[in-house]
Amino acid sequence: MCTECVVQRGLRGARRMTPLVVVLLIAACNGTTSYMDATGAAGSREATLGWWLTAVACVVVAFVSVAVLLGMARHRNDPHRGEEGVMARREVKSGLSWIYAGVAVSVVILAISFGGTLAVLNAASRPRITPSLTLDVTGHQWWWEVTYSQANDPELGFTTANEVHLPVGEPVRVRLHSADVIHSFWLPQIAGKMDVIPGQVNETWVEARKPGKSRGMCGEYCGMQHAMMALDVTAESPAAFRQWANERRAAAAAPTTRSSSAGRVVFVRSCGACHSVVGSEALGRVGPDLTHLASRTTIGAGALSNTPAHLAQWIQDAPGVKEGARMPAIPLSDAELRDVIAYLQTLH
Amino acid sequence: MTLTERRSRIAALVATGGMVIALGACHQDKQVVRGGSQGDVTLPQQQARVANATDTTGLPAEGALARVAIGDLAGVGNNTLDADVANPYANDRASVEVGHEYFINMNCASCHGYDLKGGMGPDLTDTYWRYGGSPADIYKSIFEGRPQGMPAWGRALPPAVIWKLVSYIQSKGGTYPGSLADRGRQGDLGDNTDTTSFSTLKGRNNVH
Amino acid sequence: MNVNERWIAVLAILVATGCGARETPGRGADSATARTTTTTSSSGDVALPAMASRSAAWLPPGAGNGDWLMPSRDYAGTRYSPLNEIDTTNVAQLQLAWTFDDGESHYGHEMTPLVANNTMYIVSPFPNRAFALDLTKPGAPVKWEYEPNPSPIAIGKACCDAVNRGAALYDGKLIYNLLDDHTVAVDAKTGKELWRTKLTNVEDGTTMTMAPLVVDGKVYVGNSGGEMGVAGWLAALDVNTGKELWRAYSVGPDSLVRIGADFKPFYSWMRGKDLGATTWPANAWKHGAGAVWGWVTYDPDLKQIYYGTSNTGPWNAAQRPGLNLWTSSVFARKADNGMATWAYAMTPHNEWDYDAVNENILVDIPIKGQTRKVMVQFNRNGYAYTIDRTTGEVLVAKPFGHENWSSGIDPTTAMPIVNADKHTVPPGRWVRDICPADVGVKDFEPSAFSPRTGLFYVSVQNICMDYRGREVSYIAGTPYWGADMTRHVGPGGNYGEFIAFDAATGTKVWGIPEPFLTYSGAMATAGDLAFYGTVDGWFRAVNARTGKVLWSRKLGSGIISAPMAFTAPDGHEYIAIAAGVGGGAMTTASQPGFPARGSSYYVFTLGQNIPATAPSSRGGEGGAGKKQGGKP
Repeated sequence: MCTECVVQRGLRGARRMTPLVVVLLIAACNGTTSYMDATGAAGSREATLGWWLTAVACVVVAFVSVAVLLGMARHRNDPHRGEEGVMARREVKSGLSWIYAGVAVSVVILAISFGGTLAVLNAASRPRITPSLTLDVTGHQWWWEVTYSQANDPELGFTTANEVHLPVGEPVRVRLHSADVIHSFWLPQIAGKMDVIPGQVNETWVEARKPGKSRGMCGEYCGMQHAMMALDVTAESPAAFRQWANERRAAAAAPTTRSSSAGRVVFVRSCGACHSVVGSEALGRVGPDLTHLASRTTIGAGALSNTPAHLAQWIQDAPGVKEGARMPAIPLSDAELRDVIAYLQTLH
Repeated sequence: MTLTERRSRIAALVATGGMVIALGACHQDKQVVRGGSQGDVTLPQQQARVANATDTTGLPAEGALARVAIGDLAGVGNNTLDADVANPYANDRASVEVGHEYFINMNCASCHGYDLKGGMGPDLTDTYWRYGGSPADIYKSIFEGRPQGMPAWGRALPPAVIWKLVSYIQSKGGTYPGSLADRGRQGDLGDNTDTTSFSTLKGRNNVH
Repeated sequence: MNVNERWIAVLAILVATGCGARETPGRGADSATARTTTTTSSSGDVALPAMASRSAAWLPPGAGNGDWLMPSRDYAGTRYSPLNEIDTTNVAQLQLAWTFDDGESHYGHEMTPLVANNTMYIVSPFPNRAFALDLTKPGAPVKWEYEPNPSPIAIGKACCDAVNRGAALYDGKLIYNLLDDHTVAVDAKTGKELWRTKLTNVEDGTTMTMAPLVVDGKVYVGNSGGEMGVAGWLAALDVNTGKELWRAYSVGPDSLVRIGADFKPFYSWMRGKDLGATTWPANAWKHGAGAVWGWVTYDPDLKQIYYGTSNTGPWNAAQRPGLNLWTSSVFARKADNGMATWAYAMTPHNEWDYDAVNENILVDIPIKGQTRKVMVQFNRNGYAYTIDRTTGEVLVAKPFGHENWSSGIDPTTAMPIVNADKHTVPPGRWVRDICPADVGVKDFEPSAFSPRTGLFYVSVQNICMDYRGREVSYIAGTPYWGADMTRHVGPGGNYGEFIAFDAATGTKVWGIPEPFLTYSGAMATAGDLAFYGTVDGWFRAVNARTGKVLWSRKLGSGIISAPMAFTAPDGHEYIAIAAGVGGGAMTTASQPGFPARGSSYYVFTLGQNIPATAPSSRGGEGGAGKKQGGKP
């Protein structure tokens, strides 16, 4: 085997690997959806394990590369380069001890990794205390229905869509339902994925450890708009969470201006069969709950940012914006559209 | 190393750098997704599709529908206004499925039965239609509501959706085309002398 | 422990378990051999002293022995006639005297005719025409007819046929509900409308089908719409003007439900503030149903009314976690101001449509040696409840028909113990063979009580369902349901059974299985007879003590109303019944031999009282009925 060829192959391999590693590192540091950056109770442990394994891999690659390079450098001017069997004939005085050392190191690293993995799995399998808060998440094509409830206080329950708020330091039980096909509930910065399967209720739990905003998503291909099924995740202090929950629990305030009052009439008549605004007579469950729509940053589960112009675009032709969306194009006159958008903007 | 080697190495580094920048700058992209409507396997070009709310291409004009009467025409007798009104979504499998979903989600199934055999509301699979069983008649019944408790859906659902509901009802076999609506009004659907009529239809007349 | 000690220990354990064992409820009355069982558990006249001591206040004012002024004849709901000309010795001679057809064969006939002042009063199903028949003339011709013209929208909002369950006569007024949410009072002599009160909007899905209770100057009416996402209520109107005095809702905060300081439920889980709202997700109670479409009874000594509320809305229980009070419950309220004194939820967090609107019959019967003032309800869920009507304590709760959704009622909390495999949540999957089906072991068809035998006479349903729950949106004017289901007959293959039941011990005394549903009300008479009808049209008279069928006649359609007995001007006892199938009985419409619809009332008496040739009535005012229109 020609040394030169081996060297060439080794260098080529290293060249190929480097961009991949660099790319992975950059992707991992991409902020809101980065699971390597996770801060949740389970997520941070999994991230730690991920970093450890990455570090081990990098060290091994580095070590092997260095060893190969050193070996090549030593034989650079070997007159017997290129001859068959040269390497094999060279006696290595400390050969066996190298093997022992290598195996020992590998075993130790493997043992640590194995133990660490078990520890992470154990930590991620159940919350440290029984959660009092339950989240019922229903995956639809292509949006998330999120219902909060508390075991002994059914009146504290409320429903929202495409957004999840978590109290920092309190584990939350998550029950997963599917309205149609298999989805997967994934809050990368908080915890790992759990599939959402029709016909059964999967249970998992999440606990945020640091306040902050991040993005959740669907982790299992579920149709054309699988990529457009984002969840707005906000982790906040328990006090801030309870305030948010109280606001969400409250019915929508009655509109005060002429335009928004007229808009409510249009809304109940033309939107209420599918959408609900608690406090009005619009109580449809086919589409997302809109009781507090004005406080959401995006509409269409991440399709557009929440502005009046985008609302108009969405209402007039949702399938044009998000192809395949179940919401049909709604014919409204210009005045009706203005009024209904005025109403939607009162829904804080 | 040789010049070519150096060049290839630089090229690789540049390529890597480019990839890194592209991915590293990753943020919310607007996804461009192609394909037909959900559940539909035909290409978009091959089906009548309402592009947006103001575009009603392919749907029967509201004016034409408004003229379709439930009964015969005073002074003339026969009413053949139904004949020109066709359901653009009839026989379209995707539309029938969409219609089926709306039939359940809008609580139609709770009154007319999940099997459409009736309950609080009448049977929609037989050939007895108090207000007419042509596509235009059924569209109008859904749009306008009817006196014995059928709600008016015209302002709650867009026209395209109501036509898809009509497609679903048509798929159950009890309706008849607009060209036979006049004979339907005269009770002549099961006429044995006309082999193109509905004489083969199940015809349990269901008086409510 | 040595051998002797071990044996003593074993013996002690056996004794302890034997003594400590609770009375397990009978798991479904077995009717195979009940046909000829004779009762030895209760002798005749066991409750007669308690009933006989009841004052005339238990009857509507002016009611004589031969009159029937309200559907249950008395405020206690007994449906007992003191007439005994027709008895076990001569009932086999019962013959048809005359018939009357109200012309409304589209819908089921659930009404019991009323008789007072030699006039029979009949109210038809939609369009709720009222007729007065002159009993003094041969063939009982129509004296006047009243056409109220209710809105036809109501037809499409009535879940279970456009029926009417009857009227009440009080102070010269015939008072009843129209399907489109109006209550009317008509002058009983002339048929002129006296007042007409609108209770709510029919487009929202509310209808009214129940028979009002009229007592002490007040008319008590309630709404239907448990399947339409309404909020249930009972209202009191002034009998002279029709003006609404108060309205007590079945759901919502205490201020709406009229719960105040007088409210003392017996069980702790029903004590608390605003439970009608807090046992629901926020605002869900507004469409939680609890409609009041059944019977209201009244105790003139305690001055309390008793009634039940319907199922919970929507049927899909996954959308409404919590106990969902006060649906599927019974209320005891002060008759004057409607404030609740106690309540009891029979099926909290109802997953099967088991309403609690069935009649609460008020009797004083001995239980475990002590006479107790009780109310007895044969509930949809299959349990016969004997409840202390002063406190709300459940004294007896045993099944009176086949049920498998529950294994019993917990004696300390009085909550049902639900069988895990009969939960209908989570929705989206078929749950097979839940017994009873939604229509229950007994629906609204009222049972009767005989003070002579101390037994209750009950039409029992043996019907089961396969059920799949679905998510449902509330869209006003459309059903707020969320269920897909099919029904089938229960074990034994007989859809119906007419039984005699001892509510003091919770045991069935005898039963008559019927191949078709028994969906009719019952009547007991002083002649020791019990009357009932079947859905295929058989009208039967049986010996109230033994259950032996003594007389049967096949009528033109199925029977889903209750019979009554009256004294005609000729001084003889007559029995009247309507035959017009419909209502909830249509759930078995695919049974081979199911009858067509009908609209006739049949009046029977002993053959010897029927003249061989009835003289024909002359023309003129004598025969032609006067029509009175109402305001549209």
